[in-house]
Amino acid sequence: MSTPAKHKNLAKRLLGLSLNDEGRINEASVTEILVSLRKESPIGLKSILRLFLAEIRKHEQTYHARAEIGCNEEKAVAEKILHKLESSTGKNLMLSVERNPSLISGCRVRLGDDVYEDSISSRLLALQKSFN
Amino acid sequence: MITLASVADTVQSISNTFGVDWPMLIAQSINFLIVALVIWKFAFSNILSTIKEREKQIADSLKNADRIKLELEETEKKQQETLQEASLSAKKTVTEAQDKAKAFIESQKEDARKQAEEIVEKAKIAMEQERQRVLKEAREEIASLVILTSSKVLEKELSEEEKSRFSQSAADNLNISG
Repeated sequence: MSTPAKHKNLAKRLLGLSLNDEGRINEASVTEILVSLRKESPIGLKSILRLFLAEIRKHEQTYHARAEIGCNEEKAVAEKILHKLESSTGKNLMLSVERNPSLISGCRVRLGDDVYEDSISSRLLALQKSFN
Repeated sequence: MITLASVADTVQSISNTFGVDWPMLIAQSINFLIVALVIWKFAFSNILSTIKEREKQIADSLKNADRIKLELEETEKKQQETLQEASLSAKKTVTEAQDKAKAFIESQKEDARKQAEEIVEKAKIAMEQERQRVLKEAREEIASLVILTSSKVLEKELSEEEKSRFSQSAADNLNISG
């Protein structure tokens, strides 16, 4: 097996060790792994750390959704979005929310590689494309 | 016999009348004959032969003249025929050249007409493409302006309550596949 493949496998195994019972990233476990890696200092540590970070981000995206909302009442909308996401995917998800005035109104949700959006700006953009 | 005697008498009487000296007459006659013979031999024959030769030359010349005349006539005739043929040939050549020139001019005209048509057609196509491009650009520009204006107006005019209502409705209507 080549060195990058070994590192990738190791990063995946480290990710497995970083998860808690709910399948989410456990910060304490990650810290423990990082300390251990620093202590052991294996060959290709930099590459292993980079791959481990990529695996963590990739895994986090499977349960951590990010929503952009175009109004001040973010909490009520976020609750609706989270409920909708969890009922659609059947998973227990995290949702981080931020205000995005460029949407004018509406919301944009990212979960993994998927983006769901219904906002005035997206509708205007679709309208503009239909003119062309 | 009687008659012969009468003739001799007549001759005798004439000679007596005109005083003919027979020996002299005979001698002169012989001299005359000798002179005549000499002249005939040395002068007349040469002259006659020269005359005959001249006659022959003249006859030949006349013959030649006739022949030359005939040849000349023939030549003139041939020349006339040649001239006629040349004239006909020249006319034919000129006619052919004129026809070819006409055909060439017609062909050139046709080519020029086709080229002009092609140029006009290309110009029309280019104009149409340019028109379409300008229209598309104008449409895009107008759409962009309309959208920009609409977004500005909506951003300014929509109240927070309306924005919230729309956002909640949008959250409800999100089409999330599991």
